[in-house]
Amino acid sequence: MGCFHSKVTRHEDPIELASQTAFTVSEVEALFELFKSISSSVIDDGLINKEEFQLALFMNKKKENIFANRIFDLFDAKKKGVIDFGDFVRALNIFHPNASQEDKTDFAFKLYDMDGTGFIERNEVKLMLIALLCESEMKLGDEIIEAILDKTFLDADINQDGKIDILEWQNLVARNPSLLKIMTLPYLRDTTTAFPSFVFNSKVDEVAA
Amino acid sequence: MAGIKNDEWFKQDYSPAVPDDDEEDTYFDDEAFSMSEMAYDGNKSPESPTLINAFQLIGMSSYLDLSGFFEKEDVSERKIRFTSNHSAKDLVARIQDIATEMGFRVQMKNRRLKATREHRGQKCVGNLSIAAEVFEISPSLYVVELRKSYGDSTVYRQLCTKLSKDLGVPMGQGQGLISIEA
Repeated sequence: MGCFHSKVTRHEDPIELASQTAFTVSEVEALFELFKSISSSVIDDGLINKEEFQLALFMNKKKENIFANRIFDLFDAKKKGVIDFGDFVRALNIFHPNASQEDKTDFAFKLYDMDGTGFIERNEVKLMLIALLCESEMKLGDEIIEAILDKTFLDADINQDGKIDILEWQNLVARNPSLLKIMTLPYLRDTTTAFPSFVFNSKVDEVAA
Repeated sequence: MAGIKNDEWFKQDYSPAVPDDDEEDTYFDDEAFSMSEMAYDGNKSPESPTLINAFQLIGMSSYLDLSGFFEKEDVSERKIRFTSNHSAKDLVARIQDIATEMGFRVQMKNRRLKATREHRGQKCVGNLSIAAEVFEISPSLYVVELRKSYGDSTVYRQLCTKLSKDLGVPMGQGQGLISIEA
């Protein structure tokens, strides 16, 4: 078990964090190893800033992205512009396979409600769609984009006010569980089987045994 | 229990549960899902792909994929998406053919396809499991998402290249096959 006090930052106690989350103490300690490597990649201060966050996830992609920004903001629960270890563990907890559908649904809602108005507006969805298309180098005409939006809002916007509120979102997700696919990281089911070079190695060991 | 597992009857079409694919189970309730999609458009057969919901498309973004924390390789090494003008049925059939040719065991579940190649007793080498899914954007435009569940990166790249090449005949609007990665 490593030292939990870096030069600059005091980290939350792993036992405390384990009690708040689906992780065991060992798993929290394993997450700390991950956290250490991410948080020291640009500035070694025991905190993850935006650049370190993006580097960890997207390697060579350092340019701004609305989704990456939004996820960072949600991890940064205390709105300090940096993610501390407690933030990190609590946020990842929501991605744990055992986390509640409710928590995952809420997180996803906040994710897509980019401006935090409490509603997912049509223009926000359009923006996200366009961002996805850019990223994927897919070209879709405006008519198709509008058709997709029409179909989505027909399905989701029950009171037809042009925006999706949390209840409508919960309803949509209940009918389309795969929309929460992004909210689960299977890796977390067995966090202690270390990273970075990990999952399939241990799996093959099981098969060969 | 062991007796049952050893019986030929059981072994037929039996594939051991693959832990890594639990991600399918945690969010994917097949019955409910296919039922709701059916209700949406009664004319669609159970085998046809779903019309895409904006959030399904958005969810494909690599920037919403946190597995980067746990994987050394770049996202493009384990997930690709491409568009195609081929019909969904065509796409699924061709992917199945190509995978089978390359020695994969293919399973189909609704609009998803899982292909696995495993050499028992041989660590790692040549083993690969992938999942593919076809989404309809419009009647003439489909998106195929291909994800590596686990295994050999080289084999994965080989499979992707083959699929891209074979399914990538540009048609009409010049959309054709666009390799997507982020």
